[in-house]
Amino acid sequence: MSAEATGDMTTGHTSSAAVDAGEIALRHAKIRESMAQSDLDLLIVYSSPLRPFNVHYASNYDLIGDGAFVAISRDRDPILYVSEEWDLERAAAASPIKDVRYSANLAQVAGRMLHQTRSAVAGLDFADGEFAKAVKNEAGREVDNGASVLDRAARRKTPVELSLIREAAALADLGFQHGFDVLVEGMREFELAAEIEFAMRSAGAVDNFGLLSSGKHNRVIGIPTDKTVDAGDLLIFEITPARLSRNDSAQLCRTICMGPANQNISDKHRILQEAMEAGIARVKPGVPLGEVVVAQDEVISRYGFGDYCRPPYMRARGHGFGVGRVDLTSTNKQLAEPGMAMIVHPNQYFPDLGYLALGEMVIVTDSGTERLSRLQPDLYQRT
Amino acid sequence: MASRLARVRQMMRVRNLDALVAYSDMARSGDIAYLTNFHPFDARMPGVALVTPEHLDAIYKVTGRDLIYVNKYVWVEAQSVDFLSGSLADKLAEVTAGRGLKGKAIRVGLTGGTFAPTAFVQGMSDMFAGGEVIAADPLMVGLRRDKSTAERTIIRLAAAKCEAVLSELASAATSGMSETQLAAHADYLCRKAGAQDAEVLFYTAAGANGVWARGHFPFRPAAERPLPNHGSIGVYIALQYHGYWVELSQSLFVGAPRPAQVEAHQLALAAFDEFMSGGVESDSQESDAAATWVHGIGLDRSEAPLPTHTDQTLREGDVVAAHVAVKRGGDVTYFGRPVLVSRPSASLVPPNRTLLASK
Repeated sequence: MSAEATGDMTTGHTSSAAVDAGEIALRHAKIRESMAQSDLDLLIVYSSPLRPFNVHYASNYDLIGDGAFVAISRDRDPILYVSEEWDLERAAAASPIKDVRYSANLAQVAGRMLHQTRSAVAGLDFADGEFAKAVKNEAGREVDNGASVLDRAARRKTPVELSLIREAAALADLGFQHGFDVLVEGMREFELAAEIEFAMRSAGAVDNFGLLSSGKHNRVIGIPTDKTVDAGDLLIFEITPARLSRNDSAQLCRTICMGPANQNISDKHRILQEAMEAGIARVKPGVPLGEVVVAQDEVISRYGFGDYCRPPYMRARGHGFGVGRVDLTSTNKQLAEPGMAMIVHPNQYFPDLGYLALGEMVIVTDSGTERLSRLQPDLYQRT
Repeated sequence: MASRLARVRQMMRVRNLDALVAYSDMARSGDIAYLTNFHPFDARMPGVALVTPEHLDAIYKVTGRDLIYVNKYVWVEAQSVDFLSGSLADKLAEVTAGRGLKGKAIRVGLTGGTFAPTAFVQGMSDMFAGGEVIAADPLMVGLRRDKSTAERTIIRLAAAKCEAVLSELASAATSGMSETQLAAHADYLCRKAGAQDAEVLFYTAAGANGVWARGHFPFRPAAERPLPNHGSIGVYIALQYHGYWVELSQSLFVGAPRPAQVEAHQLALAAFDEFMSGGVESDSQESDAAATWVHGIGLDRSEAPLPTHTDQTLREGDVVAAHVAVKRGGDVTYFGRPVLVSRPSASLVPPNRTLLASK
C-alpha cells in the first residue's frame, strides 16, 4: 500500500496553545504541589546546555548560554536567573516570569538559596562537575536532588502541553508522509532525512531527533549516513519533532520497504502491529507501565522471538520525552496516569531480517488512550 | 588515528604521564572524538578514553544495541555501560585493572575533569589512589589546535558547503518570509549538503537581542516573525561535517538594498579584510562602531584559540571562525568566515563577498 493519511496532517506555525502567564502559573502550581509532597519550601529548576528543557518547562525560556535556573518557592514569586547578560532581554521577553535576573555566578546564587533547609535542586546531575561542586560548597550542606520532584509535577501534562504534543505528532506524520513521497532509489539517507526535517521545520518544529537506517538487515536505527537507499532495502525510522522544546516532542516509528515486501517481511511486520496494539490496549490509568512492555513482549515471544526481547536487542518498548519522561521497561512499576504522553514502540529485531520499526504516540486518558498519529500503522511499500 | 595516538603518547612522555583519561560529553565531545571518532549523541551518553603507552581503550555510556552500531565507525573496539544505570567510573576501574594499572604509583592525566560529574572525578581519584591524577586539558587543547592536513581538508570541504548554503539561502529568501521559515530552509540546505548537524541563528535589531553585540555572541534562535521589511537580518550558520564544525555569518538585506546598506556591507568587508591582513597579530577588537570576535573551530563548535574571551593569542596555522560586526545607525552588519591564520590570514575557501539581498 502507499502512505495514506487518514486526516488533516497540516499544522500551522502558530500554535493555538500559548505558553503564557496562565500556563506557567499552572506548571508552577503543579511543581509546588509536588514540593509539598516532599516537604520542600524551595525547588531550584536548573538547566545546563545538556538539558535545556528543565528551564524551558518552568519558564518558556530556551537556553542558549551556559546555564539558567528558576527558583520556585512555596510562598514567593518565581525568579528566572540567566547566566548571560547578553540574553537577559530575550529571556525577559520570552518568559511570563516577571522577575528575570542575570548573574555571572549562578552557582553562588543557587548555592546561597540552597543553604536553607527543605530545599532541593533539579538538573544538577547534568551540570558541569565543578559547577555542581560550587553550588554544594556555597550551600554549605548536602544538597538534595529534586529531579523526582520536578518529574512528578511534569509527568501529567497540562492541556497546553498536550495540545503542543498533538501538534508535534501531526508534524511527525507530515515529515514521514513527505519523506515517503520524495523517496527514490539512489537517494542518500541524509538527503531523505533532510527532506523529512525540512517538512517538519517548515511547519513549525523547532527541533527533531531523527534516526533513519536503510539496508537488507538493519542492526540498529541509527543516525543517517551517506549510504544510498537501494532496491529491496528496509528503511526504519524514528522521527521525533519538537514543537517548542524537547518537552513537546512526539515520536513516530515506521518501516518502508523499497519495493514490494515479500511474505516474510509482511508477516514479521504484522507481529509488530499485533504487539503495538496489545501494548496500547494495556495503557490505562492505574496499570503499571511495565505491563505495557510485557503485553508487547508476550506477542513477540508467542511467535518465537522471545530471545530477542532483551538486551542487546531491546531496551525499552517506549518512553516519554523531556521533563517528566516515563520509560516503558519491563520492570517499571510506575502506574499510568491520565495526562501522560508516551510512544509505544515494539521496534523489534528479527534474526533473519534485522530491525523493523513501528510505534505511535499516545496520551493516557481517563479510560485508555488517545492515539495521536493519523497514519495507518502499516508496512509502507515504495513501489 | 595512528599518528594522533603517536602525538598523544609523545606529549604524555613530555609531561611524564603514565596514562591519560579523556572524558567527553555531548556538549564537549572533541577530546573523545579526536581519540576514537566517537561524538556522544545524547546528553546522557558521555564517554571516556584511556590512553597508555601500549593501549587505547574506550568506554561509552550507550545501550548494547547502540554499541554494535557505534563500533562500526569508531577507531577502537569500545565497551559500554548502560546509559541509565551504568557507572563510567566503575567500568573504567575494571579496564584499568585489566591493564595492570590498579594500585600502581603512576601519574594519570585527566581531560574534561572540569565538566565531568563529581562522582566520576572522585572515582578517578579512588582508582588511582596510589598515584596521582592531574588535570591534563592543555595537552589535548594543544594537540587539537594543531590541525593536520587531513583535518584541514575536511574543514575546507565543510566551509565550501557552508558558503554554498549561504548563497543558496539568499536566493531563496523573500520578503514576507518568517525567521522560522528562513531557518528551516537553511537547516534543510545544510543537511541536504551532508551536514550531520546544523544550527541557524539570527540577529534582528528589533528582536530583543540588544542593539550591540559588545563582544558577545549576538545571534539568537529564530522567532515567528517576518523578516524586517527593507531592513537586514544577520544570519549565522554552523554546520558539522565528518565531525568538524565550521560557521559563517553575514547580513542578509531584505528587499532592494538602500545606499546606506550597501555602504554598511562594504564597511563590514573592510573590517573583515583588516582582520585578515593583521594575520597572527589580529585580535578581537571592540569599539563603538565595530567589533570582531574570533574562536577556534574543529571537533567542538568553539575550541582553542579563544582570543575573544581569554588571553590566548592567535598563532600561525590556527583554524578559526572570525566574525566582524559594524554598527551604522540603529543596525548592525555582519561578515564572518572560517579562516586559516597566517601572515596575512586567508579564508579557507573564497568567500562570497557580494551583498546578499532577498527577492
